[in-house]
Amino acid sequence: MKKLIKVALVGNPNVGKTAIMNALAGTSEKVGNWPGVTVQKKTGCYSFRGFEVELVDLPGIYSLTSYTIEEKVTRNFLLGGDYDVVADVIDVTLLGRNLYLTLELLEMGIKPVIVLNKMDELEDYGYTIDKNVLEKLLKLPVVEISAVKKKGLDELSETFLMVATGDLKPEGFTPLYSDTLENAISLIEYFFKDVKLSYPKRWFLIKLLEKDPEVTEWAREVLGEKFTGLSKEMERIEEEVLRKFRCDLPSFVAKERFLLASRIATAAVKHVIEFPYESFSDKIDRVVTNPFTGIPIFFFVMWLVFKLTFDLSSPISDLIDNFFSSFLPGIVENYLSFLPQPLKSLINDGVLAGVGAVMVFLPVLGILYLLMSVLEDTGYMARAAALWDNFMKLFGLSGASVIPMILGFGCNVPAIYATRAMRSSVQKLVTMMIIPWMSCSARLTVFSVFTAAFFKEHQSIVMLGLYLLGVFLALGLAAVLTRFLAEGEVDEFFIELPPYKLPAWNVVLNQTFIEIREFVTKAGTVIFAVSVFIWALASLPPGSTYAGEETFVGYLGKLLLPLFAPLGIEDWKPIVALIFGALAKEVVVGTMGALYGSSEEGLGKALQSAFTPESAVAFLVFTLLYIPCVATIAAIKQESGGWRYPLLAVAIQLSVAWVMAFLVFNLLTFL
Amino acid sequence: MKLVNVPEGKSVRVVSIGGGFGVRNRLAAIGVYPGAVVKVVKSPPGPIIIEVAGSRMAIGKGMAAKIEVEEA
Ligand SMILES: Nc1nc2c(ncn2[C@@H]2O[C@H](COP(=O)(O)OP(=O)(O)O)[C@@H](O)[C@H]2O)c(=O)[nH]1
Repeated sequence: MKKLIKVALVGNPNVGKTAIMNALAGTSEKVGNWPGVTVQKKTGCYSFRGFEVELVDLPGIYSLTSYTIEEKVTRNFLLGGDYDVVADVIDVTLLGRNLYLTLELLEMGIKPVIVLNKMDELEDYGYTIDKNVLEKLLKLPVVEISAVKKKGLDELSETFLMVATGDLKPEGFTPLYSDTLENAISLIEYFFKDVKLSYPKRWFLIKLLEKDPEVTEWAREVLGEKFTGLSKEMERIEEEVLRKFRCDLPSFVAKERFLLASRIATAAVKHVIEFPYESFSDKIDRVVTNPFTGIPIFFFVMWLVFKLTFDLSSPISDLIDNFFSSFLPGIVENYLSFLPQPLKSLINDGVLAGVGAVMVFLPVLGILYLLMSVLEDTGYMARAAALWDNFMKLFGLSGASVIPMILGFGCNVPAIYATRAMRSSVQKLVTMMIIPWMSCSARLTVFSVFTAAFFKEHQSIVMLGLYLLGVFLALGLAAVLTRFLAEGEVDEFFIELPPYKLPAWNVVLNQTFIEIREFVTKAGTVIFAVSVFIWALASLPPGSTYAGEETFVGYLGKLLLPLFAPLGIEDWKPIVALIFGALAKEVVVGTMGALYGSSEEGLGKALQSAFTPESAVAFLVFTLLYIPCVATIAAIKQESGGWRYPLLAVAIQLSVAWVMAFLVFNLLTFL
Repeated sequence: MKLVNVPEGKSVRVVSIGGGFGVRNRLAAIGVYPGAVVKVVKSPPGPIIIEVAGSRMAIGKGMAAKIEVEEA
């Protein structure tokens, strides 16, 4: 039996934790969720010297407060102690700021292995780091690596082993602060002298001085009556700090920590040559984050992404589609003709169609994921987020929601996955919930058939109206949802702009491969199951024509008629088409064609007899809003880690769709 | 003077920061606290970009209007 070592990776955002996971654990990475929350959890495994090392990637954070879910997840994991080694990953080019988190870890009594990543970049910065000074000051093992260049990795694993087996026992430095702060700590310590705490005491006291919400709550619980006394004492301390330093207590503590971290960094940095002022990168930033120039550039970049994605992927998708919808079924017809018809139908319309439905997404997803990684890795994504932040705040969202939302106009599925680049899990969740109202290109096929049949003159206006309605409702829903979901969360109010650089291709490709695999195994199975289920609805009981009046789905369509009558829809066929549309929205048109027994060209005539212009608009509004397609639902489930949010999205969207279609129909009829 | 009004290229010292203590605590963790010196790389229109502790941070106009600064 191999011995298992669990290593937790902690660090600021962008320090290269993903790159380290990739370099060490390759494609063994698994993506899941932290229990009970929608924060993503990545783990990876590798063998080293007869040990099995499990890496757990904790969310990237700047400090260990409890204002966001990410911070709470990280903090509670660290307090829980379910690990053998903590690796504190540091971007060596930002040593001072990164050591802030290190000090917080030390306050918690954790003795991490310090991982200085991006050593390859130091040369460009014109200085070197004296690792020995850092080791001596922090009293922790320090390992220098480059995850992208794969340097120093063996030494890193070696250090993990030594710490895990106890061969190396880091002493760990206890951060000591100014007299003012140390006095304050002793003053409040008095209140806890007979209390048994289940947390490291010094850490607890410091966090209390920082007015950390979670720790304050814990203190209230353990102290009971005495809590009022503590509050009074804290107020007194704060007054003094305010008078002496013009600084409130929480910022005072953070400032002390920041200054200590900077002092340690200064001591460790050698041969400072004048820091090259990156004026060129700043010039670019001024252009791309200025709305007048930045917004056109942004739309140009998005247009490029769309063009590349859909131009490159559609030939491959078409091939895959053909393969599963005509080539393989043809083989079944020819060579398996002895099989009974229902079985052939199960294979062709059920199984093959289901597998095909999963496979057609792969080219789009793969290419888009690649392009998204490039946008993120080059540093543009952070600028785009900064550009839109102010506007999106109006709806409770952040600038980082804009790119996923816009991708939604192409296809909702990759748009859902694009929310991964978002830091805040609440914002991410809300963005996922509203993406289905970004009208994807599949819905466009429905819109164009209907508008051609009913509004030949005003086709583009009606379509534009539909798109705008979707966006408008999406932003409105976001404003409502953030109210509920973001309760007590502090907004991310700054966005770090990493230096521009070329993407690290090995990481990008490796990640893309992992994402595709995750899609197939997680979302793919759901899509496949639903496809087969819909096939069963449409072909049972045996002997009926596919999707005909006497099948289950036909029956269901008729059953739902009373619900659709208020929307002006008096025929069961469009309802069946909508049920099929849950598979993929473009299917709506094909199904109607089949049900009305007409070619796609002749469908217009058939529609004109089945719909009035008013009910046609109501039907379009309903199609726009009613339900995310099954692939989108599966993606939301995969990303949010459960059925709760996708089902909530379905419920909200079905009801809003009905209400809006009802309003539109009656308004138009009334006019 | 507020951070939002500082011209591009100028370094200023932070005097005080408005908003809840959660906001202030978290800003201090990245190096923006009373007494810290930050350099304004870009001013409005659009977000403010500051250089602090070696990295560039974009801050919204709303937040930057709550940060009081003085000549460094
Ligand atoms: N030069 C260099 N860049 C790196 C290294 N490791 C990561 N990066 C880059 O740092 C950025 C952030 O890396 P990532 O792994 O996504 O960081 P995470 O947010 O901590 O997961 C990416 O652009 C990487 O390409 C390294 O060892 N050297």
